[in-house]
Amino acid sequence: MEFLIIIGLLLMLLYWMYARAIHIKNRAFEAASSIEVQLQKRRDLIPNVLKLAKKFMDHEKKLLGELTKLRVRANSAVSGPDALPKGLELDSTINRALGQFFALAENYPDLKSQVAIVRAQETYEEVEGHIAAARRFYNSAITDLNGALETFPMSFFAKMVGAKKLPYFEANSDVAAPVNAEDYL
Amino acid sequence: MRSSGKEEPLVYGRRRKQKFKDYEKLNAVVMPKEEVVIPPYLAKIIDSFEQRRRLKNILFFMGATLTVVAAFFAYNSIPDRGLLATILFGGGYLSYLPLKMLKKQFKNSLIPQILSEYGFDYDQEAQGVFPSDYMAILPSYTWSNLSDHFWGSDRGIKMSVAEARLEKNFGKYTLTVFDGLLCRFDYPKMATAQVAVKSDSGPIEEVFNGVFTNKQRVRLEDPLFESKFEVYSRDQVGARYILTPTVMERLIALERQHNGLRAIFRNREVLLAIPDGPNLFNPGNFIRPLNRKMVQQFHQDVTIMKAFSDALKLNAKTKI
Repeated sequence: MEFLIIIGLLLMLLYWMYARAIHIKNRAFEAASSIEVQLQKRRDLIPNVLKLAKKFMDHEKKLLGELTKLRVRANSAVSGPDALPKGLELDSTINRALGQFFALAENYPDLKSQVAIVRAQETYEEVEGHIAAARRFYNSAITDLNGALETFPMSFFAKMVGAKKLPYFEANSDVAAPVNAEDYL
Repeated sequence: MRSSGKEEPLVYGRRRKQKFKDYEKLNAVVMPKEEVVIPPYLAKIIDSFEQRRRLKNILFFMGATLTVVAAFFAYNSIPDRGLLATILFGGGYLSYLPLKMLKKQFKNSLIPQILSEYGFDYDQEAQGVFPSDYMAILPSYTWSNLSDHFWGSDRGIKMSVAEARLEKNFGKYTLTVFDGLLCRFDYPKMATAQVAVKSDSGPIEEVFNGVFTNKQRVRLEDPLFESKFEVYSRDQVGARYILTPTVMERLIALERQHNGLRAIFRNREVLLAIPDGPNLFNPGNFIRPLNRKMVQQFHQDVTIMKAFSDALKLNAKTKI
């Protein structure tokens, strides 16, 4: 009888570890897709912003054209956790261009006074906050995933369900680079 | 404390006296001994209530004395000691009732006047002021009493504060599960899903929390925050959007002052549940003479409430 109880408990433990490995793997996928959802939100902002800007920012055609191209490239990019690092790189370029756009918009009082552009800027800031949150969620999920893959016996079950190590999200090198005040003065 | 080599016995009364001395020392810093200058209209209210209080106080002592005398003579004729105790308690309560009602009238006359200086409104009753979604952050309870509700806007931030006392029946026993303040403030960010932050209850309760609610545990990267709080939400990204590293730091700092702090973020609002909050706008025991210094104390109560909003930097323009 005792033997059966021990076997039963052991089977339960093994099942729990198997289920946990699946949960950890799915959580990593969920985290990766949540970044993509937030990035898509930012990309969806571009057409609305451009529509407004075209009326006022005739001299910034190069930047507006670049934003359109970047959006097309990002939308056609492959999705999924494996493609995430490349996607993030592309989106950081979009982010830079959008940031530059809003900075330039300050020079156009007619554009700046448009309610729609004010709202777009607010949405942009909100989306930026959500992207940062999604990245934190992703890193947290990856910590669990990589931890499971490195610790026995969870590593056995993690490999069994097809989980593999994923890279952490790290800030771009240009973000970490020291700021030269002269560039802005 | 040792004196001349002999250990001085600890006498309750002496220890209590020492406590009062310490309290006076503390008060000497917070409240100066000199006469507090208060606006004449407030002084008029306090003085008129003091006259009425004296009369009711005499009635109270007469009623209480009569009850004790009646109980003394009825001691032998009422063999049921429980009934006798009920009569004593009932008599005492009935004698105190006029004073209690006067206290209520006094608060209704004085406090709205003080709070109007800050642009706040006041109501002694606060039952049903906070939606049930907010109350879910509190420990489970079977009886609740919300009072001393004041609301208004401070530097553009809408706030609503009330005192709450929650009790729960455990068979024969009733336990106070929460006695403190509930503060609702505007929050500069929109919470896409409800985010509940409660003090860390240990691994066993955490398992039950996860099983019996459909909210997910949100594990954040700050180990200090994780050691003090548990976060639950249906939206992992939304919870992190609200609880940025800066907000986590602010909540930790607030928790250091108010152990057992709980918070819930919903839409563009945050509700703080502060277990050891001060007893707001308490004019004290009406058996003692009314002191004009209480006005100063009431002003301090408002300042404390505003300090909670400052601690979370709710009026900051940046949404970090």
